[in-house]
Amino acid sequence: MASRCILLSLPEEVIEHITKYIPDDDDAVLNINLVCKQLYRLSGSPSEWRFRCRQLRYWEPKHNFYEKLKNPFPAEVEWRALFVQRFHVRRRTTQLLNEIISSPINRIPKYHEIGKFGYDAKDCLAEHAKVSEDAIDVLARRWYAGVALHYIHRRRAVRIWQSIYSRQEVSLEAALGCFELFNLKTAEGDPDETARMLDELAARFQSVTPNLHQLSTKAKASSLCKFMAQEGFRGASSEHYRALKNSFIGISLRTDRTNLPLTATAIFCSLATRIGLTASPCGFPYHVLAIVNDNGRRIYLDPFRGDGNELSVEGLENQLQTLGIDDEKDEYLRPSIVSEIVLRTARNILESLRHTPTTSREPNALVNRNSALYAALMASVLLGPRITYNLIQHMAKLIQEECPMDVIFFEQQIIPQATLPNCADLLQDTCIKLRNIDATLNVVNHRSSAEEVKYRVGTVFKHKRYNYQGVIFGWTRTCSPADGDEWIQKMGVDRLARGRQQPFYHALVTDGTIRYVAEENIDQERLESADELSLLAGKYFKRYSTADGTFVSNIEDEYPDG
Amino acid sequence: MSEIKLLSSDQCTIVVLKEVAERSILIKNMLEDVGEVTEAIPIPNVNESVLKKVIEWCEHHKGDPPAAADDDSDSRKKSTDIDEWDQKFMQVDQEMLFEIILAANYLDIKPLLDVGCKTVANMIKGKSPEEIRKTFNIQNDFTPEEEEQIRRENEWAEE
Repeated sequence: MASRCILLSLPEEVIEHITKYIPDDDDAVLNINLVCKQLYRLSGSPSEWRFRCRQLRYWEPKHNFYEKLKNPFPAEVEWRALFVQRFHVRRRTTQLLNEIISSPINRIPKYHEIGKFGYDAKDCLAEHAKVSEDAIDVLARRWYAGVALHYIHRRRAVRIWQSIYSRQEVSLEAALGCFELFNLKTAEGDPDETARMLDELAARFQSVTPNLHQLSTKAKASSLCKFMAQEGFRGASSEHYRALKNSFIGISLRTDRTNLPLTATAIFCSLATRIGLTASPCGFPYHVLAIVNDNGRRIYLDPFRGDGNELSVEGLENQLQTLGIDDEKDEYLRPSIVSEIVLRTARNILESLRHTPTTSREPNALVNRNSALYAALMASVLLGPRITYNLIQHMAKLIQEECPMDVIFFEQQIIPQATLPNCADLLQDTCIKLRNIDATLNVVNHRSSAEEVKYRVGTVFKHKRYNYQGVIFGWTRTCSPADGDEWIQKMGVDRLARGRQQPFYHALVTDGTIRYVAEENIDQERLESADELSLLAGKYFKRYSTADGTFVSNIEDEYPDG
Repeated sequence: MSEIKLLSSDQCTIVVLKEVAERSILIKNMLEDVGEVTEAIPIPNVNESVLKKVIEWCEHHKGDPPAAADDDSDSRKKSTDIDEWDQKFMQVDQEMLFEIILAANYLDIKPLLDVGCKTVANMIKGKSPEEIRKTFNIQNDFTPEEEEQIRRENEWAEE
């Protein structure tokens, strides 16, 4: 006769209460059901698994998670199976991220595996991206989790645009939200949240507009325009018209709500659709308008101006006349399809990039210029009339520098669409090159016993002449820049006191740039805190050591002796 | 401050501050129903040593703000979140631990029940099924076929 088990002698509701406290990421949360029949029965009711699933914020669309949540009967949904799946995704994602952090080799296939989980990996990565300061690799973990999040976002954007290309129905806000996905390195700020904000705005409009359902279509459209103005949406002033952020509807919604005609119209149409109107943007030259369909009649409005007045067709036709457009006026007056609005946004972004100075580099700017450029190029490649050599060349350069794992978009999405042979070749070559770099260890730089290189990887310094602050992440024994003699001439290296025969250092600078600095210009510094550099240093360093006043290297493969 | 008397299952009388005893919702409701009592209140399910332990906990926590009642909210704490004093308090043998949990459940002292359950959850955490069986002296009553079936339920089902 077995001796009695006191755990199992507890009232069943107490046993259930105990199992609730097993953490979501602990093996026992699943495996406790293997202990015995009684625990199998008590280790989680459908509502308990539903509760655990609800702690997770991001879900791949295939799960229809929010639909499932609406089901009032937890037992009708396979909540445990859903949780089991996410449990394993979390486990594997963490494992892959750990490998990415600990070795520079073969990162691309690891990112791709994480990418396949899509949004199911987001909660887990978001946790790593906010890992506590005590983690021994805090900076690297936060950095690479951010890189993986960013990749997952781009992957989703590419998929959405591709589904537009293959003529699937995609909402305007989802199609435009993709530009934001290219810019999004954190879990928060997701276009799904933009959609929810639009839902809330539409609901508020409905609650503040009396007798809405009795109004005519025209009156509804007009009140919606005015409502947007009351909610703080306004056209950007000519001074700030070209600000990059104006092209992003989510950023407009969340921040100061200034916008371009296109973004104002996109927000208007998204709201109008939510209150039951049929609305589309109209690709009028220089100024996108909104068209609301009133039983076949087109009502033209200008949400950018926000006065809610209907624009007359004659007036618009006259304007076209003034612009020299006589024929095919309807081409400019018809409702636009989603892909046209995406391409027009891409053009707006490229315009903004052309007209705003590149000198004002802000690491914390709302929109990163390279991300915006990349998004605009990707939209043009996936949805534009044709793929050009020039486009591919630009993109290849960008991904090589910032996100080599994106070769997968080249391989899977773009190569099949590229018809010009020289484009296809360039794409192929880029993929092979980046995959090779990823699979090869960089040259190992050993220090010799009589060490001529003074400063170690991780040293924080101030530039003696230019005063900027940076951290060393590599060195060469003499000046040997990637661009060779041309750079040496341009930078006047020979005018330095020690010339080119001195160690030069690769440095990461607080403004986000990478520099190559002569040893004689290095002024070693000790930082009390390394906040600014810490945001960037994770690419090469595990953490900042306050005791040593230096960053702790995560690139021992390349510089085993520091 | 008024005191009341509690009578344990093994017939020991324990004097305790009313305020402390009222951490137990069962006692609190009882006192509200009967008003002034002079004789000892019988606690038939709890013996003296356990009752003293429970009162020790109630005394330490008498000033705590009332806990949010709702369990199914996002505020549910992780099992690792046990304050230091409670952790020490719970360093008792398994028998006593489960007696405390039973008493907290019977006396309706939710925060103590939670601490007890978290402590047990911590003993389960990180263990394989076999280790859990060992820790709590549980017999495996599955057939190998049943075990295999459950193992599959816990695995990653590729779609």
